[in-house]
Amino acid sequence: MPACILDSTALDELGTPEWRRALLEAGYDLVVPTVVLAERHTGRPQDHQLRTALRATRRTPLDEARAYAAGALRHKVAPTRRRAPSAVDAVVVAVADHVARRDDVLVLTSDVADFEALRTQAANSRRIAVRRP
Amino acid sequence: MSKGRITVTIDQALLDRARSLGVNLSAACERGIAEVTETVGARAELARQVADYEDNGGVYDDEKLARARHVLADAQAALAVERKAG
Repeated sequence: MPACILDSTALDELGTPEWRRALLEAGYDLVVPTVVLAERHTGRPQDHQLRTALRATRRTPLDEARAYAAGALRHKVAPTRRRAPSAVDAVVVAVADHVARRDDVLVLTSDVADFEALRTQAANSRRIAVRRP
Repeated sequence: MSKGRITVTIDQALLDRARSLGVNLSAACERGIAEVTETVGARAELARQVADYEDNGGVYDDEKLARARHVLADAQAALAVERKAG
């Protein structure tokens, strides 16, 4: 089953009926690295929509191996960019790279440039696609 | 609980190494089953949310739905090309 990994902006799209329907049809395993919640969760009542969206996803905690991989990706990309990609973005791509060992992976994000730069450094980059929702 | 059975293949060298190192393969398989359970739960919830929206008379924005489908199809096509080339 191909996986679709969502960053914080893509999580907002999962709140829309059109994206929910399209993702259901496409048959993706929806994955949210839990580090994304550090960007998106506010602890306010307005998080209701976020919690609803999250229930339709599988959340993957950040383990030590992925943290190391994210750091390495970020370090490789930093010299090629005006500013280094965020640690959260690097973790998302590290998780995508890990999943891509056995499945195709689509990363949905509004920050395509940073994610593309990170993807090109991933070991399984050819099994990862980055798209803007 | 009624139980079904599927067969999973594993690289022989990896299996031999795991056994020689005393890795608890049953525990590793249980972790795999937990992932399957979580995946099934998430997909069922997504299907429920879509069905609830439609059952309550929700209407889709055609343009937005077409755009979402296009993004997903385009990504799948690109990945298929890479798979063939690889």
